[in-house]
Amino acid sequence: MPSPPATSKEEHAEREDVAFLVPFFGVVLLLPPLLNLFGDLRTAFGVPVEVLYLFGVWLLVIAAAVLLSRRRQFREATPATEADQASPPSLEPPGRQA
Amino acid sequence: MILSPDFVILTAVGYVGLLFLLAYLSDARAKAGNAGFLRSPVVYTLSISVYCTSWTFYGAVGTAARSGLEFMAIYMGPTLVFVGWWFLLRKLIRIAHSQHITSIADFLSSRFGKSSRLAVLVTLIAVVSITPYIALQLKAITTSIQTVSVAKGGGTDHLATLDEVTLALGVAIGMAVFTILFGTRNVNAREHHPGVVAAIAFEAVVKLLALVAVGIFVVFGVSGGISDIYARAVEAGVRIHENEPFGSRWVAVLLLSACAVICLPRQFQITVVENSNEDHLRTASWAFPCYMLAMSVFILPIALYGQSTMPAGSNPDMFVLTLPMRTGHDALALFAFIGGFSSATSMIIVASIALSIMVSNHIVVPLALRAASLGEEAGERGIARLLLRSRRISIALMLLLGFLYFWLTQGSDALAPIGLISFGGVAQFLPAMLAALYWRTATMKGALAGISCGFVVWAWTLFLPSFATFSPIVADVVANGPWGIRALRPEALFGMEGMDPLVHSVFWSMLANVSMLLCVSALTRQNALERIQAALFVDVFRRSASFQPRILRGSATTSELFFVAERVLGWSRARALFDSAGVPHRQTAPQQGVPADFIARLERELAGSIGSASAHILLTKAIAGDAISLEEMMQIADETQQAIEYSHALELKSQELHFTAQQLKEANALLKELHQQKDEFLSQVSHEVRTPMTSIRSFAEILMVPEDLTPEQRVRFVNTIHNESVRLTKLLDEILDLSALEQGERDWENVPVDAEQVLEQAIAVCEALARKRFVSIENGVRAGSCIVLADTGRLSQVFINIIANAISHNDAKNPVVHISSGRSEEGYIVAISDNGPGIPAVYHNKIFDKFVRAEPDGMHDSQGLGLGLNISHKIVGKLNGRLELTRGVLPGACFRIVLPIWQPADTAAVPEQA
Repeated sequence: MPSPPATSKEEHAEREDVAFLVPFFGVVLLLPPLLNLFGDLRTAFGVPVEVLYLFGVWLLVIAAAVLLSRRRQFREATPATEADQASPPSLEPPGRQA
Repeated sequence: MILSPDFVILTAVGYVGLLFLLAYLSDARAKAGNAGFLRSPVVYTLSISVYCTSWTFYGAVGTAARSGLEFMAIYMGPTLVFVGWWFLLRKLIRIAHSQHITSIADFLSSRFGKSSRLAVLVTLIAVVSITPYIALQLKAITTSIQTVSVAKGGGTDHLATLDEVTLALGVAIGMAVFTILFGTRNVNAREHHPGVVAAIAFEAVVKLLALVAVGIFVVFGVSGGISDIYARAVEAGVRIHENEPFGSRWVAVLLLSACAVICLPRQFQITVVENSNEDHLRTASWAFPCYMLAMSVFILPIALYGQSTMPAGSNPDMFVLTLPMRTGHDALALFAFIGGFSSATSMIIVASIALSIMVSNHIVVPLALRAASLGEEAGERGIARLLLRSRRISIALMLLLGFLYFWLTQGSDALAPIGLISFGGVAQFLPAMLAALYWRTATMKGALAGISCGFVVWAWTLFLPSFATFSPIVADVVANGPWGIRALRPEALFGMEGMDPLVHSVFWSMLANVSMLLCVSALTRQNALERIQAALFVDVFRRSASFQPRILRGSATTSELFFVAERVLGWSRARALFDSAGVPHRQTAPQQGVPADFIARLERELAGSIGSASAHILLTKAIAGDAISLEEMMQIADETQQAIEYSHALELKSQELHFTAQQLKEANALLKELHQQKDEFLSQVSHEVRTPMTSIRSFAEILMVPEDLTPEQRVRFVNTIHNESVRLTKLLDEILDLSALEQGERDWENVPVDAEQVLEQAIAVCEALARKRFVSIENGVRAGSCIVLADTGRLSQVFINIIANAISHNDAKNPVVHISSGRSEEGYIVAISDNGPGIPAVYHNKIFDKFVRAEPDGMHDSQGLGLGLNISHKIVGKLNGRLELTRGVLPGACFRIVLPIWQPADTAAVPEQA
């Protein structure tokens, strides 16, 4: 595998971290302190705001996940099962030499 | 009347038949190598949605009606896990692929040193935890059938007269038979069940369509949209807002559901084990949350509409069925029933297959291996048959347990609490699982302690109280604590009262679990196998997927191994495996040793069928008690280390050889050059010697005939002969001198001498020559006494030679030789310059070579031989000094001699030159 230049490698590693944003903000938005901001008696279109908020966050998280999964660094060719079952390359350790 | 209970049950049976057909066809297609669509991300995602069971289908509406938005946490947790797939699930799947993991018990046992104890513990906990979950499905199916019967007002159908328990038993038996037929037809390589996956995916579509159909019917069929439903609910006095702010219970449910989507045996089976391509996870990461969103979107409207229109006291869990039936939409109700039925069957099928794999691999096979020696079991595929049989029995047993739990806890109405009990049980695997993935030094004992303590606390605080309605003893324990010890009351441990029982249990069990895992891991050590496995798991992305350490020594013979492989994998697969590795396996083949690599590979293949712990035991046994011990591990490591060192040494040696060869080459080149120089030297010497010899000979010949000569002539000729002889002698002297210098004189001894004094003597010697040639010697600035390390005679020779050169090659009108000396950083410097013609530029580079005479053509001084400067140069070199041609105070040539000044302390540092 030709080694990519350092800068693009760093960039690569950096962009993998992006994947952490979605679960992180998902957790923060779905835990009490923020969640309870909408827990009053307000309604919009007759629907309680907290319901709209929960579904809204859910949709947002899914949308972000869709966008992320389309990014190049997450679509690396991964070994399929069949390839995995193929025999491993011989890694015979050299025997003891006198 | 269309929907008689008989008809409903027949429909269910027909639906099951359809599933069976689907699974059969898919298996056939997969076997023909035509899996195509079956191995697509879509089917993978749909099969993961086995997470949505009848709990979702019926129970979520019930939860929404009873406690509002809490049901959403059940789907939010998995959503968060899946959108974070890159960090957790991907690693899990990569490890499972590279290690041929068959179940969650196998995963944990494999990571913690292929421990059988851990595998058994995890299996038992999984069985206990899932029992309530299976009971939940039985209850949902039974209730749904009953709902249909009751609603239709007990006709003449004979099935309608069955009571709840009998019906549940019937359902359980039916499910057991179906699952056995369905999931255990053969022992597959790597526990892939393409047929089952296809059927599950199909069921996922059915249940989604059914729920969405009911939802659309409720929202747009019988009401005027979402707002209308809320308005109607407010009108009917139904609370549409949360009773209290989201708190610890919401967090606990979120956490439990996140754990469950990873740790539930059926989720592990479908998401990790059945995964055929890591990349499918990328799609599932958003598609599965989408599926759950679609499943949840109509839950609230259905619950609210049901609450506002159904008579008081009707079971909210069954709104999905009762709402269409109440308005006479029987076809829709039937569809809804099929949806609920399919969500229950898919869960039962996958859960019992996953659990039966765990039971057979981790409990039955190790027991059988320990009990019977390998030879006793008759038949070619002894272990394979044993596996199938034990799987079938354990499926039946699982459903029986589920039925018993259902029977014992009939009092409870709601579905959701039962499901959460199961979630709490399997969540005990999560700490060990995270440690397995990310904490390299977590030990087997730590995992064992953590899981078992967490499990005990869970069983005490959540599982036991669920029997309270059935058993007065349990009810008493819950109310007053065991033996009246109030601190140990299951729902108020150590007096922690007033908490939601679920939150209470999650808190205490997770606290016990995590703290035991941390403390015991910190206090115990890993054995060698654990360390190897830990590295394989934690660093799975850092090494090539196929790297496997040698764990068993290669001392087994081929036929022994083939015997083992044949019995687990069957003859044809075993043969294919052996053939592909080029290992002979026939009885007639020589009983030769097998490479360790092959044993490692065989172990992985076997692990794919019977789990890593069992495969390890089996092979260990086959290799004549060749269990790996720490000492052996260390020896292997040592051998490898030695081999590495040896090859490193070889590399160094070859570098050295290369270097030596290089040096030899250089030496050879130098020798060749010297050889050539010697030839040149000889030819020059011969030439130099020949000229005087020729003249001596010719004059001698003339003198042999005396009568032709006048006496004056005779005197002149004899003089010439004399002069030439002197010249010849001088030449030979110089050649001898040079040769002595080049060979290295034995009696050459450098002693501290006063260079200035030597210079004075040399000038004095040259006075006579200068006077004869009318050359005046000017003395410039002088250094005064200066000690250098030299041989007096040689140093004087250098000075005399250079001064004499300056005198004799000077043809100026008023010839002058200027001599000065001084000290500088370089050392003691003597500069001798003249006002002669100087040395032409072409000679500057080679003036110190042999036989080089820098004289204009036609002005051949018989005195110069071209060796003097060469000799001087060599001598100065030997004194660690320099002789160089520079520009001086006079227009002619200037020679500069630089010698290091002697410092007494420095004596030793003066390098000797040979």
